[in-house]
Amino acid sequence: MNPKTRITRWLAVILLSVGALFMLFPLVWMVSTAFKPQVDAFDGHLIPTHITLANFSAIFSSGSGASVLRWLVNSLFVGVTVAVLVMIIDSMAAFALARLKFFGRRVIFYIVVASLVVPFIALLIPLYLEFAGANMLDTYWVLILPYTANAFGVFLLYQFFLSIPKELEEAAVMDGVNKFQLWWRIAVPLSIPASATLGLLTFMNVYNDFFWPLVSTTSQDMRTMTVGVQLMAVGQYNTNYSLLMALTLCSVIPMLLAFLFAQKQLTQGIATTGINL
Amino acid sequence: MALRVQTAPEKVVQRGKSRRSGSMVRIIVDQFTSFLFVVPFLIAFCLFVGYPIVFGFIVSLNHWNPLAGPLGFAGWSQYATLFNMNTLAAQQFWLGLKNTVTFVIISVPVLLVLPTVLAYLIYRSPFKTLFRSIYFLPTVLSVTAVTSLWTWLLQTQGGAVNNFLHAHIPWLVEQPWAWLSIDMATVWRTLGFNLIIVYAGFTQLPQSTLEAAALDGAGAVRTFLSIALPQVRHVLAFIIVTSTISSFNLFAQSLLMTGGGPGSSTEPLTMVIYNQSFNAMHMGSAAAMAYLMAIILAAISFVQYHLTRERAS
Amino acid sequence: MNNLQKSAALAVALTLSASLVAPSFAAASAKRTASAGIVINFWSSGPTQGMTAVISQFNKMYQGKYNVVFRTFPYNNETEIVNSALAAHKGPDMLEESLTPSAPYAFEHLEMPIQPILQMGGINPNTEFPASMWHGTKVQGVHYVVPVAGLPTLFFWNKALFKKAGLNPNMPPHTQAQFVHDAQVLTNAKQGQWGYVQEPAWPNPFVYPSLLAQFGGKEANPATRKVLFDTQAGVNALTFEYNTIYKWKISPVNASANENYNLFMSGKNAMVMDGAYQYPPFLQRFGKNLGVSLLPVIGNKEANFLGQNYVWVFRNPSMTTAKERGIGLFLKFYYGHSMEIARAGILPTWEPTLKSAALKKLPAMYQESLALNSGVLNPLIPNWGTTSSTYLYQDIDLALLHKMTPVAALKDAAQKMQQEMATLLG
Repeated sequence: MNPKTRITRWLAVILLSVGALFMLFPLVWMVSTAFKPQVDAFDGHLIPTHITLANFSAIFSSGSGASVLRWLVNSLFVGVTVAVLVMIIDSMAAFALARLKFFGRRVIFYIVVASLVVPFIALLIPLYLEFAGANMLDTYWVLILPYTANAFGVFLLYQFFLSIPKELEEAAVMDGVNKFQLWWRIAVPLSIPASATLGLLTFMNVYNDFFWPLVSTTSQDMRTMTVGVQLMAVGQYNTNYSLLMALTLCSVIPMLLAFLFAQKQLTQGIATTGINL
Repeated sequence: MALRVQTAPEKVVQRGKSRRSGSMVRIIVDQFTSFLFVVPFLIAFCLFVGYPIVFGFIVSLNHWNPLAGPLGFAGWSQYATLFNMNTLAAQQFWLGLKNTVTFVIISVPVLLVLPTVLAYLIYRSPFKTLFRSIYFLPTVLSVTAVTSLWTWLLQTQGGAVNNFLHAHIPWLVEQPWAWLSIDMATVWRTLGFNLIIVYAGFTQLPQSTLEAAALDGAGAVRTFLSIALPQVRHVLAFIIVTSTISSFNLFAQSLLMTGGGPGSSTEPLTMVIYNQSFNAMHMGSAAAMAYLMAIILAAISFVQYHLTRERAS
Repeated sequence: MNNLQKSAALAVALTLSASLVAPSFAAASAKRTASAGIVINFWSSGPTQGMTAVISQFNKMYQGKYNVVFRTFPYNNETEIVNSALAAHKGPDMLEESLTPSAPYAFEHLEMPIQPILQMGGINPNTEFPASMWHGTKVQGVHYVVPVAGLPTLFFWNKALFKKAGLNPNMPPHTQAQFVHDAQVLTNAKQGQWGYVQEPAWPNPFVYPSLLAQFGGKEANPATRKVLFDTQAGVNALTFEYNTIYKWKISPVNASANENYNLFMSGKNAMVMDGAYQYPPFLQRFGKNLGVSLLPVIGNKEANFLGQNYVWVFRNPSMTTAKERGIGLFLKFYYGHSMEIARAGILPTWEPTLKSAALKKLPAMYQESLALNSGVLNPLIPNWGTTSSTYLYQDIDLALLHKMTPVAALKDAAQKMQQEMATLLG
């Protein structure tokens, strides 16, 4: 490596470190505030003058009738279920749209893409009435089903499947496999990184969604983590920032683990999707 | 997604075509079995996206109150109202659109340039995994968490940012700071996602090309501009379109950080639609606004898609 | 990617979901076995201190007969939650909210007249509710709402800062001149020390209507829907707010929402005008150093905006006379236990409790009960004070940011809001 390159490399490290401080600054404050009593939330000290675990014990004591653990389980259950369903449903659809020929294929594809621009706010009431009519409000169904129609995922995997060399496919056809086997044995294994990326993005999306779970569930037991957090810390007139930061910290941990666990997969997965075709 | 929305190559595998003897029935059966793959998605799509879209459109053609239901057919009048600037609805709609577009203009370039540069720096530096993780970290937070956090950091008198700067910058209160604050919180949260995508693009760069450039004595900036960037042009096109769509849907940041202020200068279109729908209870008019917004967004995306595609190829 | 990896990935995913499904659904089904009796669904975004305890006592006492199911929501999102639910006929039986959001439902004939229900519970509204919270709440001549909590605007001060500045810590200002004088003594702008913090945003919807009423003005006339805040009284009120920042310089420029609270809590702000909801956190922070009194008279007479929580009953398909009776009994039970509510820091709206000796022993509650006498409500126009008066506060915001004069701001707001009035229900 020549000296010029080395200088460039370390210059990059310095720039990135400065940026990293900016990225971490709010998070560090979040952690610090989570350990402060409510009255100290605005004292301006990065290191808490009175360290307390009161916020955390308030979260995990079940006195308020709300169980944070229950919300966490709800969020994980809903997020994982949706992610698995979306990976399967979208993979099949994208495969067919990209690699098979049938009547109406183009039309379906364009409608799917076009649906991405309609703002959710316009769909809220119709969707709500639909689930109310089916008597599914305040159940797991209402938290899971609407997310299974993930047009973005079809779009993502469609681009990936286009990139599979057709020789692979032709070889398989020579072996006499049918379409389903072609998808399951050739397309699915090849697309695991891309599908996993879609799964992770879907999970993050569902886990962090606020509006729909807020409106469609009413009982404490059906709350998701994101909704529960707002409900517990944000009052009619006041926000308890210490408690809010502690709650946010707790709610972030599963996402953080998921990311650290999958971050290599995620980068590779995105590299293999059609995004950079 | 390679904004190249291409349909499948013509020479895709088709069962039956190789056997020319196959009858019409065979082709129909073949097409039908192919179609079956799309059925699970189509069911979900029709139920949870298609039906609400059609229903919402019908609502937009009626006077509709969420409590009482339809109150009479309005035809296109609620759309026409949005073009009559003497009405409050039209004034609100176009002001909201102006605010939304302002946000798109100030956020999309940042969401494009910053992640690209950072991704390249990470790609060329040691500690790749560490930096990638740090920059991606805020992405896992929910919008509500991010807005609460930043609202609290950006208080004029006691906020951590002003304490740090020893200043009294009116972040959430005055323009242009209010937009800057919303932009900062948004960029802070979304940057990591775009960064990972561009980074993935850079990893596809053939090592030999970079080495050749180094041998030619190309500087770091030139290598970045003339070798690395062209490699990820489709990724950048993807980011432009997706960032535009998500910036168009700005809602929580304005609602929770500035409350739409100062005045109504950060009140985006989604907030106007939301108020019209749930607070003023004019659902029909709100639906008309939402569909007009969708049409405008579709047009913008379409133009962007074609422009970026031409540039990219 | 080989088959092994693929099946492993799938297996992990399935196990994970299965392990999560089992406990979740088991818990969900356990929940369904609710206790018997007529279920009364009660939704609220209001302060829940005390309410939860009273409800569980009621349910215990009326076990097998009535079961009040209490659900709470974030205040900011209540409209979409309630309106979606009502659109699908899945709404609550009772709702607790501030006053003006009840108006749209009343105009849509979705509320039950409340007086028959009060009668079933044995409540006499004319003598047992504070007059300022019962009168002026009729829609088209019918009472639909009952007050359950009062939140008058109060004056809080930091006694330690008063002492430090050489002021008598037990002598809060009573007039505008005293207020400005004290604030000037307490202010040291260079050290970031303020006598008062004038908010452009929250909680100005408590402060501005208070000052407007003190100068003898009204926000609007609910019967004619005529906007009235652009009168001389309105201009005087806004000019006072403006002067605290730019003339007397007793308040910082560009305060963020809620900054009066944050700075007060950190000892950088000496005086606060805000709703009674601030009392519990302030007391926790300052203990004996917290002063509470009625607002100083900034205008010509005593007046304070009365923040409020009301309950109303929806005309649901499932509504029966038996359920109405249950609601009546519940309300009576709630008022009967309103001393517990007072101890939890919420001002009850029940005259027998307000006049009791026990309440006089709670200093803040006593001040609040005095404030009820000069309390003014928002005009009963759909969502006035919550969302339909947005234009007013947007323009006040601009005036306090020195972008418009108070007169121009109020004129502009009045013109826009008069136009908006025509689009509201009723």
